[in-house]
Amino acid sequence: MPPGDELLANQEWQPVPGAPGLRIYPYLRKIDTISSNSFILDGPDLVVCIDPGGLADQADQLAGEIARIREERPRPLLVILTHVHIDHVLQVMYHYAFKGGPGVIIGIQEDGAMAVEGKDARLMIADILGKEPGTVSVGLPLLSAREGLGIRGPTVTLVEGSCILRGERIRCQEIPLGGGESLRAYHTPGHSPDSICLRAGGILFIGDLLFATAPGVAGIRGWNLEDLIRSLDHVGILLGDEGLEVCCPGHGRPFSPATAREVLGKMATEARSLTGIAEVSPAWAKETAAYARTMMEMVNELLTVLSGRLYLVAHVLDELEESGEAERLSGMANPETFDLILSDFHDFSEEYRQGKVLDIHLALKAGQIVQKLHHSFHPKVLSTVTDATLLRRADRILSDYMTRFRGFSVRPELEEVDPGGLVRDVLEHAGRSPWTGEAIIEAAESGERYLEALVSRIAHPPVFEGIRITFTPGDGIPPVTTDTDRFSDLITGILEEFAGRDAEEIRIATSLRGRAIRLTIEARGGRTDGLSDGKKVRFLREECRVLSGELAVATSDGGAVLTITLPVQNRP
Amino acid sequence: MRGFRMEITKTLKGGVTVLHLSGRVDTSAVPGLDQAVKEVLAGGARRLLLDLRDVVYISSGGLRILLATAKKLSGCDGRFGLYGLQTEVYKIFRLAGFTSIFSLFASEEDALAAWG
Repeated sequence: MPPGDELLANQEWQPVPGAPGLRIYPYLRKIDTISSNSFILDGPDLVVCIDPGGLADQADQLAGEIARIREERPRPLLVILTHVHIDHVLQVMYHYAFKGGPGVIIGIQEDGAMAVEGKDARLMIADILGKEPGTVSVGLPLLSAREGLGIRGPTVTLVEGSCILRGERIRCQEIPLGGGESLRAYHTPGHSPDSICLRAGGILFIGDLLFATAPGVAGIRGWNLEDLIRSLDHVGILLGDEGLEVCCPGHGRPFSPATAREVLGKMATEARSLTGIAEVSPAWAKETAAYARTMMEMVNELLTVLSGRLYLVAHVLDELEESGEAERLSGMANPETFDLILSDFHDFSEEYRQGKVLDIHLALKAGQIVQKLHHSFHPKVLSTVTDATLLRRADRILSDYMTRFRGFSVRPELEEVDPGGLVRDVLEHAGRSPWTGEAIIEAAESGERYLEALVSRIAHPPVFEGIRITFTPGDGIPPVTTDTDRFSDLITGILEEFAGRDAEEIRIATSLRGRAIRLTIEARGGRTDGLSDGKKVRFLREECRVLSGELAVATSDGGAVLTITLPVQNRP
Repeated sequence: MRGFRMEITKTLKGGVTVLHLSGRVDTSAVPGLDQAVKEVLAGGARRLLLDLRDVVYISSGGLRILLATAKKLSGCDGRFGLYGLQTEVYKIFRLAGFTSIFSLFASEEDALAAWG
């Protein structure tokens, strides 16, 4: 549990700044998808609980505090939701203290009210988070578009109001809390249609607005880009009010209004780039989680090979009593950090495999892991030592995941390519150090240059040594429109797979099949176990799909054949 | 919950110490492997064979321990070898360039026969 900060102490009663008649009890949580923050406001005539959250223990604690202050001075309880995503509303459905009943009234913006009363699992994102919506009776629909609706019952009064934001008249409603204090509600859709912000004294509660552009959140059902951009602008203005002292998000620690305003400003810029993102649905989460596992296995393989090569270089240099250079190289990459990060994902992935976490959680975890790897992985620095294509592939897999996780499609960079020339180019450079034997001899005159050449040679082990590789170009093969780097890396990946499996011979051939070219890569000898349903083939299939192509695999006792079919004209 | 947690058992075959590894040699398993190897070498063993038949994954940290072990044993005229590498583990060895510096064997019998 976070201890809170200088703005608000966690799980302690304290005065609300700018509202002498109010006290607040914040229940702040670390950021996750299980439960939101909650807040209790103790007003002279009304007790308010904002977002009871998704956890029974949390609701028990809130209920205990509420019961105590209501026992001291009986007053109605208003349970109010910043929006009805299930991590905010679940305990309203299932906890005795928040379900409604005598002296308890539930207030939700009208769209959210309809969603909970209709048990709309999609709008509550209950389906994606694996929760079953319960029954809720909303006594106080807020900020209703329909006149007259929303002012119900004798226990809570709503006062209509408005404010001018950016020249636009924005409707708001005020809920008197007694003693001249009030809670004001503003409709701020975008993250969801029912999102509202609430102001009490010098505190603004902004729900999940701060997370609305985050990958895996942007694009959820009910998310609306146009509304979001407008709400970010409006809330930015609300945050500029001089009397405001604290901004409370729906998850994590409170912010100063200035910090929150700065974040919202950056989000507005980011939001403008989100046109056309995919809907974050259960199907999206499933597909993204599956891709996350595949890509992380490949990243793991590439980074383990890369780290192994660096260790090997350091080992050989150490043997040659060049420990200074060995240490310099060790500082270029931090294999222990890669190991820790990848191990963290593996453990999480195991929990996923055992059904303990959901698709969306794995997709989100992979997003965090990719960001951590990006911080520890510096391809430009490492490329001075080791295989640039290996680094490029690892870097691109990480970037591709973030593109998909963001809700976009991975787009190849198309150009016209001669397939035969491309294959020859791959074969010429595969597994070779840029330092030829002659260049090393020439470099011997300078100790520094010689060491550089030596390091490069050790860091480029002769992966294809001893393997007979032939290429037979087909007749009349036209240029294809494809992504040169991706196509090259696809071929390199297959060649490495076969080399890693100890193939004795690799035969490459191209042929034309209607409006597609076919590239067959056949390995003779070596290991074929686990190839056809293995991680590499799953990954290569994904890569082919990005190029609008297909991959077929056939294995036999004597070897294996991987066939790539690519359209001559690729139109993404 | 971690899948395939690594386990190590030790046997002696003539003058050769064999460490049988199983599971994942990942970041959490590396200290255990390091410790097991150090204990064997501290006990005076100079011929060490690692049985990797049941190892499904090796991290870069695991590769580092293997290199360090090879270095220690080569410094005292010892012998170090590995056998039974599964395809995915073997592939890492090959692509990282380790197949050319380690003695790799298909089986324990092959290793013992080669070392006389």
